[in-house]
Amino acid sequence: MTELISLKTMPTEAKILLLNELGFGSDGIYVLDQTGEKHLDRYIKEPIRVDNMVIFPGSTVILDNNPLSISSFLEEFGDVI
Amino acid sequence: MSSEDPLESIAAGATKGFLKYSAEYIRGLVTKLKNKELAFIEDLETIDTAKEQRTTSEWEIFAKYIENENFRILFQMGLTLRKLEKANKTPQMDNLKRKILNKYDTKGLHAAQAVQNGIFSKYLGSVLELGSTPQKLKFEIENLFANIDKTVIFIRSQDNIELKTDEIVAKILANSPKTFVISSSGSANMICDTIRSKVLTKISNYTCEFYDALNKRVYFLNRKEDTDI
Repeated sequence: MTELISLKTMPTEAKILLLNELGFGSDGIYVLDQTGEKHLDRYIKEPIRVDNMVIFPGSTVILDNNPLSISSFLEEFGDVI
Repeated sequence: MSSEDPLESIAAGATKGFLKYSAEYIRGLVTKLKNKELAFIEDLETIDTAKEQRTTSEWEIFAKYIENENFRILFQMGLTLRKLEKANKTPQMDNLKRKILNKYDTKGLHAAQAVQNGIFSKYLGSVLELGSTPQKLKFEIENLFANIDKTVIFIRSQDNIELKTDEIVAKILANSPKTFVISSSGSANMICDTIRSKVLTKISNYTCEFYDALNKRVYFLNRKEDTDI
């Protein structure tokens, strides 16, 4: 069973550390990919803010925290969380 | 300065809070994430809402018949919009509508709004009343979603009555849909009533069913030969 951890109380610096460990970066506002470009949500193609992100397990999917992206993820991968 | 200084306390708290997230601690979280033991989300309510929609009876019926991924997502978005509307979360509802519009265009947004306004459930009820087979039911649901702009119209309070009436009549005459839906909410309800009356004077072979719930109007114009089966 996958445990869901809220990022609400995690300091921004810790979120950036977490992103770095996953091979991503941040300019302090947005999630950046390995090339330093803004990482886009795979479903809505919008940049993801560090203060509004979702990180799903396995092959590390980082999404914007919104119902459309999350429902799209559940449709693609099933009820894995 | 004493340790009771509020600013000093906040700074100390923030430092202490951050210290909890040492590099080693973060690496531990990442290991658990890669083992699929953990997921991170800014606001747990978002995922709870998404998962909740997938347990509703409406979703179970829809999911049983419909495999099209986009239709399935739009259906869930309709249920989510309905939940946000009931909770008076207008900014979140508008934000979600913008995202649906950006990804799926107006046709997609209208499909989601048809679910939000209860049109889908009532449409399903009227199809079932005609004694549909499961195959026919699947066809009718997919047809509604695929042709939403030919079969459903949403009236807004600023709409011109004459122009909207002509638009609806033109759509009905051009496509001869088995069911055409005229819907409105709140301040648009009065002009919706007027438009429905005017439309019915201009088309001859349709009967009208009316639903009124949660300050919404939904008129189903059903083609006569189908209701007479």
